[in-house]
Amino acid sequence: MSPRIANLLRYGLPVVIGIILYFCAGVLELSTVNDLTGLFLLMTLAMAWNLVGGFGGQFSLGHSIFVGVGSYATAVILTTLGWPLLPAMLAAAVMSAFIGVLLAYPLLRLRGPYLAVGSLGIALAAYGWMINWNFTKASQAYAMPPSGQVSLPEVFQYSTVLLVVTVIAIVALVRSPLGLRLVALRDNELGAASVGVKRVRTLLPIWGLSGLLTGAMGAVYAVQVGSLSVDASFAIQWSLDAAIICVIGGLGTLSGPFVGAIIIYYLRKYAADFSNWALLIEAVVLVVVVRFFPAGIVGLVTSTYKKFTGNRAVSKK
Amino acid sequence: MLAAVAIAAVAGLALAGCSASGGAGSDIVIGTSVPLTGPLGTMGTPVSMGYQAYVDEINKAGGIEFGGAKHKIKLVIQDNASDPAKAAAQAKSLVLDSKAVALLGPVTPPLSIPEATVADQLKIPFLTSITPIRAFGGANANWNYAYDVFFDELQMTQTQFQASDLISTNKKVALFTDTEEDGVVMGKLWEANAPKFGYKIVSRQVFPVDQGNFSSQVAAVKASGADVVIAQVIPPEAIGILKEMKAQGYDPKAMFMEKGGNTGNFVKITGGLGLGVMAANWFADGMGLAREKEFINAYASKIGGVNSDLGILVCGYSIANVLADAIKAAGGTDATKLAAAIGKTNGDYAIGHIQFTEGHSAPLKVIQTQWDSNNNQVMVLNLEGKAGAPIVTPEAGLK
Amino acid sequence: MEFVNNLVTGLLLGGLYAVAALGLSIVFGTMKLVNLAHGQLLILGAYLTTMLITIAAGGDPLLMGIPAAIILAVLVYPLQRYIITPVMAQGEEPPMTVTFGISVVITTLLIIFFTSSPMPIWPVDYATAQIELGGVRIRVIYLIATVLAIVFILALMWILKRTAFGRQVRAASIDAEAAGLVGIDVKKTYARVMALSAFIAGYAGVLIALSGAVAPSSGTSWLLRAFTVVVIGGLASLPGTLYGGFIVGLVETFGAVWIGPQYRDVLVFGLLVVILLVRPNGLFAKAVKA
Repeated sequence: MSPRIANLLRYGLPVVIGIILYFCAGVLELSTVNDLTGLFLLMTLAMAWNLVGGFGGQFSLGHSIFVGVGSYATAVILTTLGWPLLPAMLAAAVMSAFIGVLLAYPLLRLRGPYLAVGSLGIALAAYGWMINWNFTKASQAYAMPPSGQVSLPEVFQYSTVLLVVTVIAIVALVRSPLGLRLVALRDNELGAASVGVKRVRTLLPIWGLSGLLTGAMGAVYAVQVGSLSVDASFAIQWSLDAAIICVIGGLGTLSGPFVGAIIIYYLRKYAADFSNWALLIEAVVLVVVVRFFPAGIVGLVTSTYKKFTGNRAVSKK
Repeated sequence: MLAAVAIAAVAGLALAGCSASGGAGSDIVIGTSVPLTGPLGTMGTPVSMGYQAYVDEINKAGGIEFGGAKHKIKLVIQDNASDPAKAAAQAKSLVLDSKAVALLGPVTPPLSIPEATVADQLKIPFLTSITPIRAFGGANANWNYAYDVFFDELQMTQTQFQASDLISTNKKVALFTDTEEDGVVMGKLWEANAPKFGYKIVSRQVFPVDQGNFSSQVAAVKASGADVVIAQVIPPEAIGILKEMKAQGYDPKAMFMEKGGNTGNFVKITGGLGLGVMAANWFADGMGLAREKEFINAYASKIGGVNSDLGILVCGYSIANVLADAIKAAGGTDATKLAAAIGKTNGDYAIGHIQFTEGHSAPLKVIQTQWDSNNNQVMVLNLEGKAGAPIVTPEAGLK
Repeated sequence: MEFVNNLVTGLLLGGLYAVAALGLSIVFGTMKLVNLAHGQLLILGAYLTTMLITIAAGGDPLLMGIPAAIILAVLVYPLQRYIITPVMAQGEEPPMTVTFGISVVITTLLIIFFTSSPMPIWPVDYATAQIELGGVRIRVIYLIATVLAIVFILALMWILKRTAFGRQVRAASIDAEAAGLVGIDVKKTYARVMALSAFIAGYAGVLIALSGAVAPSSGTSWLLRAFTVVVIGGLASLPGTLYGGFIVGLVETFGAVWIGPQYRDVLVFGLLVVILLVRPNGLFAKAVKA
């Protein structure tokens, strides 16, 4: 198909689906709306993490900071500054992006497992600080003020818009020069450097974008949950969830986070009655996927598809 | 290409809707998301037993009677593994997917508050216990659909001093609290209450929740020469503190361990060090509650003793009872009417008298109890603030 | 005097941290593997010991810990050989993910079989015993742990220098491909290193359980502590693990006294991050390798 039609599909399809869902918000059953909100937030988190972890090749275990900052900043701005909801959420996301860039500076000096441990250390230090910080009520629950309380369909609309924006941003990024430099850097750092790809210059904006999107997810999460606690908002589990989803779905792919998020979300939901077994299954699936299907489920599907359709060479332009 | 397929799949899911495991017929569906596993599992299990006990009892009698017919209760229990995010998600799912008309709550503020928030968002009546009422009210001054039945921290933090008055001490108190919500709230109240009873806090120790090593803190407390030690801890912290105190040869005359000391088999899991530890309690033999003996006979051996696990079960039973009575009074399960009916509750239940105040909480008065070697917590300070059984002093397990 | 007490406590506590971190250190140092399941191996050692004591209807934990640690090593060997090592070929991150998955498997299995309450403690005297030397309080279990840390480190150093196995390990850690070319079975060597690591970790778990409390979910905080010790002490440096342990122990103890125990996490992990940035090879590493 022609590049123009491909582009139209790439950007148009998510927007169209997003618009349909947005206007269906009031019509869908509440339980569906609730499920989709949770699913979309998980997808957004995974896609944002995938930027840094998949495409960037930097296994971050520190993304919980962005969720925490995004959610708490929203609540605090609403309560102390009295802004309306949307500006507050945007401001929280920007704050999170700023922190992303701030953290990237030191973290970029580290590689591989050191980066993972370092980012985890930062996330834990942040948690340790937040749990004692009286400005955000330390370990006590921080309720969202009335200006931040919206109906379930409205939360769904926010999460839909966020997901569409995330998808478009990442699709655009991956095809942009910056995106190409990012992947080049990940796959062959020396080679990339030899053609002038600068590591810090490339990765800083990526961390900023990832922080922005994750922070925005945190802001919508705050609205969804209604009452924040440091335990929940800054939990390391956010980073782990994002990583697990991307690994199972397919690291560094566009559709990996989608597939992974669907699997994890519904696995957890339907195994609610025997949650330990669900956790066990999740962990075993993770081990099996990494061991036998390192390209994730998307990778598995793609390679099977390629086997069946034989050797399709260059498409006609 | 694949991305498009994935997006289309999601859209398909959305339009197809998601399957719901809804309730059927004229059964009244009541949902509860409790921690059956995880650090709070030892409290979540007895509370769900209490809920189930009441539901079984009323179903055996045919169900709740209103509108000229009897309606049985279908109790849907989910395990949130002590995770606040799961608790909120399950509360939502119980209402939206399982079609619960009311929710019974979990234990402790970190789980109760998120679930209560969800209940208010979805406008569904919510009734919980094992959540101190100031923590509950502190999270939201204006609950609409959520209610809490438990002790008032203000009264609870007086009982340690009242009990200490029953033995002779040097009136010096050492305070151990962790950084979670209960620790912060109770710590402040103890500091405020101590001078009112003539006690002085000579050592104040704060620590994060997974603290393992207490040597410098116990040393400081020992050096302060306090005869009374009050702690607000979870079981692993309790074990760590007791071990350190034994190691340093520090045996206070009175040792209170709130929350952590209210775990079944406390003496066993602390290897005997917990013998003689005191904790505030809402149920004990001889307390004077109407159905005390009945519950002790029915459940003590299953639970393993007359201790706070049994008390938690009785709390669970009682609030399930309150909910059923409110459904009957409201003549149905209409959310607004039901919530209003709960608010008007004013009666005697298994756990005591329950009547809600404006903050949607009903305070239960607590007593002080002391662990004996048979896995029982014996009442040493009764509801009137007077002596019950004699206090074993100094703390027996640390001798 | 209190200062000396805190100093001694900090050091001995550090000894416990060192022995807990030792298994992680040898695996990270020789295989560049970030074993996220290490914390759960510690806990599993304690639980296996409890199981053995129950089966044998009695027994001292320090003694029963030895067969328990051996069992753990035997269980871990095939795990490394057939699951983790093949994944190591994919890069540095996939093994982390796999070991994380394994840690969750261990945790959930422990919860299913033992419930999530703290493990009932072993009623032995030396767990809470304390001696006084010249006015300085010494808790016996920390002293035992520190002594064992030193013993294990010396033993490991001897193994590395003097045995054929040690030569294989050193060769494989410098250049696995070259080692394979000269006839060393790298896969078997890695599996043996991991088994050794599991043995030490399992026994360390017994010491941890003796000094405090363990529950199925305790693994995470010990994993993080072990990481901090290894990062601060430096990889490829066995004595470094001991010094790293001392430093973490001292920071925790004095941090609690001077700043406040509630800031413990901020201090310890802050230190971790600073060291990572300033001296990523740790404070006591040997020559810096790329």
